[in-house]
Amino acid sequence: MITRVRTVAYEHAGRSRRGGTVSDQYITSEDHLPADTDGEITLQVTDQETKHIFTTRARIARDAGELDGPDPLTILRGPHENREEQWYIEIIEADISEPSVDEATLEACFERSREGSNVLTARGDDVKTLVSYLVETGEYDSVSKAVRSLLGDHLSETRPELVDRYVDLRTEHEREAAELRLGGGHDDDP
Amino acid sequence: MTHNGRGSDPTTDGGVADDAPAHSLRGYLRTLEAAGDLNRIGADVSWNLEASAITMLANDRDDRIPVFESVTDSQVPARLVGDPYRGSRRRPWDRPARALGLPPDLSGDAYYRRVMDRLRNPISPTTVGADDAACKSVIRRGDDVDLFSLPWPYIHAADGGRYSNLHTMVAPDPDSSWTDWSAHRAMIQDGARASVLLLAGEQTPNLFYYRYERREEPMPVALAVGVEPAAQFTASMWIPTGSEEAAFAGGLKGEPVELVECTTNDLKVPASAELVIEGRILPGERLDEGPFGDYFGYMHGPRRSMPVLRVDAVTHREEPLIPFCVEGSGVGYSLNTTSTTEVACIGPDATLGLRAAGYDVEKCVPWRFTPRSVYVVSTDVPRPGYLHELANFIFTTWGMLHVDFFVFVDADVDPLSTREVLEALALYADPDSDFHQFGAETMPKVPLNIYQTPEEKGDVETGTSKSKTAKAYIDATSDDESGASEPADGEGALRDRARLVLDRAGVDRNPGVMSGE
Repeated sequence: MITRVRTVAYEHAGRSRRGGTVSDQYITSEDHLPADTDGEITLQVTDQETKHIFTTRARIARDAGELDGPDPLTILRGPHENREEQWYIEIIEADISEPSVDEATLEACFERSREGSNVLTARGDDVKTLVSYLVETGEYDSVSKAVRSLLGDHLSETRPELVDRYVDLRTEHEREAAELRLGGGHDDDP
Repeated sequence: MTHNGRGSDPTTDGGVADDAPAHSLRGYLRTLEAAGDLNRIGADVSWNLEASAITMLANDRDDRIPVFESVTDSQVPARLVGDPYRGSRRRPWDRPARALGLPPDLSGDAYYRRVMDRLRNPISPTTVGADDAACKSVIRRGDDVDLFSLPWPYIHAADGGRYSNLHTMVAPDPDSSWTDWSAHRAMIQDGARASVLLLAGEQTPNLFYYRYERREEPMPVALAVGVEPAAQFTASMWIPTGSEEAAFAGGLKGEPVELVECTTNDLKVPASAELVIEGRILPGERLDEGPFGDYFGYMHGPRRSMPVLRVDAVTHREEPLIPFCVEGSGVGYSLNTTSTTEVACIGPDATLGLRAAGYDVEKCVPWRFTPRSVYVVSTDVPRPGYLHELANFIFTTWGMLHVDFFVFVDADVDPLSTREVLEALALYADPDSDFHQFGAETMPKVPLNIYQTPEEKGDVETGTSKSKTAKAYIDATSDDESGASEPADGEGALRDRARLVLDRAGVDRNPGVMSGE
């Protein structure tokens, strides 16, 4: 439901909150929540007092008891953001610069992986020793599975926007391929 | 940061004399003060909803224009001005008239004529040096820039951020010498960035999306905040692509507008500005913009990804005035800057535009109760199909993203008169034959409307609606080729009854628009 514009209730005009330059209360939109809110996440928030908008590394939870230093976090939901849900946030690093994704480079890498070899090679005694240990102790079935899994986990945590964009790109290509098949076309049509 | 000691100069800001146009926002405010139309508020007021709440009250009560002299939590000693160009309820053009050096008691007809006469005669701007521009009194650039040192207002509860929404955006065409002036709200993100509402289909957004961004080049821009009234009004007008708003501002003012070159790029901005934000709109970068309580009077979502303005410098006067508009408060009976500018500036400009296109319209007037949604056009109907042709011209040639429908009335009906328009609708608009849907789901629509769902509006990169919509017009002309305005049969009694119903409903027979002069 859309709501009428309001500033503050007239009877409260003249008594709005003043004071500190930075509050310990934050607002975000459900649009910015990652699918998995467990653990450390990157989240765009608005400082409720100053209205600064910034991206932060944080943990969030519905129950304040799950966090070490919880501050209130209001999550706005709905197309007009007029439904509020009370959560809590523990900010680990305030105002981080969100690394951007170079779309052209990502697409070029994607195409090269599809069309050329998909073998990943790297040399490194330390890494090989550690990964071999994880395989031999049964945490992973093979070196290749261990490398894929560890790298994937690391990127999901540190570069979620890159992983998201890659998943979008892959989905897009899979959809296009499916459309070609269902439509009776062929990839190699002139 | 540099200070050059220049402040406002009462001798050059113009204003106080009744017949002189204001050369600056502060000159205009002095004119209002002399007329007892200004309310200087010395008590501490917060930028956080409080200034907008007081302004909304003033708009609602048809009160004086509020200036907030002491804004709390602002590093720069700036002041806020709430809806400075709001007209009075019975005569919406009176304060714009004062700003332009016209008598405030002109009739609506006379005001439209005077403004159209001025717009017919553009006057090229002049350029002054930085030493002569008060807007260069303080210069901050690079790391010294902090947008949050200024008291940008947080206007509505649940807005996505603080806004600058009463400024002139200056942007150049990369392929010609044309520089466009326009009005696009900006949501302050952090110390050096703002997201700007650029809706494709409008002039400056088209420059960005279809030229700069396709070439992966940043678009240099300047937001001139608190410029002189003529420049402020012109930025909202429908000046044709390729024509300089600066020259039309000069025409509107009756003398050249002074421009000054920016500090970090070669754009020229009105030297009268209270504050100038210089920067670049970056290709391929987007940030949240909205939700925002918009001119329809409702909170509007969803937040959309909009282009990013990266700020290179901020220059300003000493103790700058930051004007803002409480959008959404100009619907129904109350007015604000947007609804007033529609009636007092865009109406005369649109009338001229239609005449220039060969249509013999008497007057084109935005309906003051629904700013930017409904326009009333008084016109002769020289041939069958004329109104459809006129509507087609407006919707397809001018784009008209905002306008939903037109009401056409006879040339002798004054579109500025609520009573006359409602009477024409009651007497001559037959719901069976005079309500016309136009362009079924083929017309572009600005996604700020409240009747399309978020899914229908879509999340389109260039900012326009994904889905199209229909537009409409109502033929409330008398359809009487003989010129007689009353039927001879029993319908006359029915029409008398309709007039009586309007009287009983309190629709004023004499709304004041014809008095004066």
